[in-house]
Amino acid sequence: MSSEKKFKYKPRSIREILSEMKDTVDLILDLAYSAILYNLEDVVDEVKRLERRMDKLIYLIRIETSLACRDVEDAERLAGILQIATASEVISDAAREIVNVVHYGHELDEIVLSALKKSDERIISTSINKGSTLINKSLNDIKLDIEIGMFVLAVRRKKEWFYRPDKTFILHEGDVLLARGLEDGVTLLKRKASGEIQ
Amino acid sequence: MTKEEIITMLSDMRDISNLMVDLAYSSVLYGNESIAKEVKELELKVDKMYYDIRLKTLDHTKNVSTPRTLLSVFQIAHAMEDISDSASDIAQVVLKDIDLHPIFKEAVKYSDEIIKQVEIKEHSPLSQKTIGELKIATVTGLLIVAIKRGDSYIYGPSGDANLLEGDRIFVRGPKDGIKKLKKLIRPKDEE
Repeated sequence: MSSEKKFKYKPRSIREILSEMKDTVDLILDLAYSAILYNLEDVVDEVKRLERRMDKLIYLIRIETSLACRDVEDAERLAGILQIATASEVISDAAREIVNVVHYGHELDEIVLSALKKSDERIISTSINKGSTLINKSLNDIKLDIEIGMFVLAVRRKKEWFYRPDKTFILHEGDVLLARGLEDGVTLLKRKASGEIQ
Repeated sequence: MTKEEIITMLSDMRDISNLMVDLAYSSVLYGNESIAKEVKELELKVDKMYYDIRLKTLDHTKNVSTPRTLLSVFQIAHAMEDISDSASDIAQVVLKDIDLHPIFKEAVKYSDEIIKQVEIKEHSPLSQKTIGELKIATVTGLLIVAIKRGDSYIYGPSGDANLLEGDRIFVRGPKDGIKKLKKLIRPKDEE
């Protein structure tokens, strides 16, 4: 009990909290699936961290919605918002469940690995080799989303992970990209990263 | 044989549960009841799949020497079922007709990626073509996550899937891509 950090209340808008919750849901599922598919311990840790963060956010949004409520009409709207927030939190718990499969040291069945590889939307991990045209470019320069339909979920540089890098993020040689997209995009991204094509 | 079936079911379950989360948030964003109902329908499908996948996995235990690793199949399928239930809870808010979207709209406005439902109208230049021919991903940066044809869905359609008049496609990607897609699908006689 005493090891739990005491919660300090800092006012934040409901919109901000909800927005962070939704962004977290968008990221956490992809991270969880890729963590078990590629056996990435750091990403497992990030999923756990995000899930703990969601616990804090749901607590915070309960406080904020209680404070914002003045009449029945408010209560109805806020109940809807709380329902969305709660469901988002449960999704992050599910992501945690997914990585728990490896966390507990259970062996993953090959069925799970084959199923994750089979999904139409793939998540790949690819490193940027010497000679790749992606080096020293920002994500905005290379527009992988628009050009080849690939979304960069995270970048690993040496031992550090950058999650949801923004458009100004500049890629370096040796960076490892975790990205999501369809098969065609996956193939193109791998070839670009290896320096095989421009 | 059973093994292949389980793999396919689990991979479909992942695609559908992911799709449901995207659809659920966008139903709230646009206050769109038909998308919300779609999510509810999909939830029933996932329930059935979750049941079937457990049965098949139990049947499969007799074919393997170490059935205990199959526990991971149960656990992942369970997580997917939770995800689909939560998506359905989110969509439920729209069906209750509570007016909350101004604040939610604000909250999701800044997301880079959006999901949208687009109908292939009569005489659309897209109909009778395959997704591969249309190069939608290359031109617009959008992924077609599903096609709804009548009451059935095709999830994660491959490049050789045909689009037909009356199909509704669910696409995900950058906002700019939607504008480009709208140009692509406009029937020729409207130009």
